[in-house]
Amino acid sequence: MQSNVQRQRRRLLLLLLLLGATVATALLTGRYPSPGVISPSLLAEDPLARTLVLNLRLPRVIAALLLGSGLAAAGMVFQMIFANPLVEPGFLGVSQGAAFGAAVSIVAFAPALWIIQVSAAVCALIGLAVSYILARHFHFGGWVLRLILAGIAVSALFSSGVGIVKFVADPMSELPEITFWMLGGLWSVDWQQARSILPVCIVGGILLFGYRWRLNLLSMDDRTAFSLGLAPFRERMLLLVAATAVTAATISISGIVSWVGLIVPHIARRMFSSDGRFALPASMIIGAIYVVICDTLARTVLDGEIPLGVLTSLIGAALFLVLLTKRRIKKGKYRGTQVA
Amino acid sequence: MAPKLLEVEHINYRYRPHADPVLQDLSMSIEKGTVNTILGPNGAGKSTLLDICLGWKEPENGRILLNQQEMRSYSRRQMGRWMSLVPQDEQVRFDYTVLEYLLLGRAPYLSQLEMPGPEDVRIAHQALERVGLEHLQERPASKLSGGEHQLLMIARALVQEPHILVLDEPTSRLDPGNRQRVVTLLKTLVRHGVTILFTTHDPTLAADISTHALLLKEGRVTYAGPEEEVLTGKNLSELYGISMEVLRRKNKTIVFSAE
Repeated sequence: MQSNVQRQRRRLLLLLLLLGATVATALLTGRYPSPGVISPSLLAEDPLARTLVLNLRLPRVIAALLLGSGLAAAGMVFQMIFANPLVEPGFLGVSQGAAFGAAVSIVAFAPALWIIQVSAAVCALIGLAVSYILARHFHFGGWVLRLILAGIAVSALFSSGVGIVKFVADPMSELPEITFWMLGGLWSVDWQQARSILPVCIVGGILLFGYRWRLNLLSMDDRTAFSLGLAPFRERMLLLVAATAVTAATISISGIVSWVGLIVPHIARRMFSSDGRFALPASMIIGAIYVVICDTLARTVLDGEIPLGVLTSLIGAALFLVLLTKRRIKKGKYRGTQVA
Repeated sequence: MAPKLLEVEHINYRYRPHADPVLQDLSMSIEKGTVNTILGPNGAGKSTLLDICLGWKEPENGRILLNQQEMRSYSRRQMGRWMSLVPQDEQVRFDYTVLEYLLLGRAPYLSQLEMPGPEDVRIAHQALERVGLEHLQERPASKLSGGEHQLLMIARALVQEPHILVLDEPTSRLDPGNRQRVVTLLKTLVRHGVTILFTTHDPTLAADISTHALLLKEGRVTYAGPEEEVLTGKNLSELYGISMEVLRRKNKTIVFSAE
């Protein structure tokens, strides 16, 4: 067992090195002075290249790191807490709440970026709060089932709200902006924005990381978790709030970026183990690598920017299909998780 | 007389405020080193009583003492060290290995941000050996057979090193071979002084391994006391509403329906 722990730690370290290499490559990749990867020595010689990397690419790559690791960690937490590998961070009305908040602020206020961010984050948290309150008032089923049903209802409400806002939005100016925000992207991220989400991401990330082994316990049913000495309701709510806060903070600057929180935890479990001790950090690192790569592709492949959410969905869906159809992973037989 | 580990005094329980009571004025106690069976027909309140003993459900009134102290004065972690549960059935939702699954039983000994260490792994290995599953430690727990999984759940409960082992119908889903394996294991645990509380629909199992029995009907205790005094043909016939006989031969007792 200890050798297994050491083996997994070594693999995590390798994954971290891969993340470092990905970040370095992303910083050096762009369309200046010509499309492709620039030499690091150019940074010393060319002040414009240095300014580009330090003031434009670096905050954007940091935002991509936070977005990827945050969504992937939140996805892992949601999947384990709900004991269901098909849920993702936007599950409890969070994503749709953020979309509604952004759409309303685009239509009702001047489209100042910070207003959109604050409105999206606030509505995402409202989504969680309303889901929680509704679940408390349902009179059937276990806590997890009630929360899932409440989340579905709240998402549907926010979704119809987005539809109404789109309907009344100016088709020439506001509607394209709403649509573009909902496709996701990091093109507008600067140092100020990256810094603004840093505290929530760090505090939330540390909390989720600290609870990584306990997530295994919280994936058991309530009665078993209770008999193992946990206060399952309290601990699940603590982690749900932390995961939602990280999700709300990151999507407030990126817009809706789908599939990261769904697909990356699956990949992490397949590559490492279902044990949260390894699956959660692996998920965070793989999520960061995934989003940094997608964002680099988004800003470099074409002359114009491809929406990040489009790329994460496209690649994520393809990966998902591969995972679902590939029956033999590593040396063992099929290790697919059961759907609760 | 052995000290009382668990005392339940005059409790009532109902699922909703104005619903019919599931348990009525129920009292029971468990002494250290004894094996206690709760028998009763479907819907008698056996599992509810187990949940109350575990602290998972709170009775309307009455009190529960754990080692002569009010149960509610214990923290969740302390409770996890005092009692462990072997549920009737449990779905393992993710592909934990047998060893990873067993380590969950160490939760009451670890703080919220602590991970299991070498000592916890040693205790988990010990429990695996005790139930005879040491050769399966790297196998996914979700891929075990029903009998192996039952033994695994008992092993996880043992990893908690509890004072009282609580089992909810431990043999109800097992074939005769696996049933016997579980019975043999429970008898071994009894010899090592583990205090056991379990529910069952199998009076023969109850007579086979328990020292004390409690008969529960419609939320009330009809008989309680030493097994040989409680598990009689008359009492069991009254409990289940059919004619039942108890045949005792040396160390073996068989209970069967006489109809």
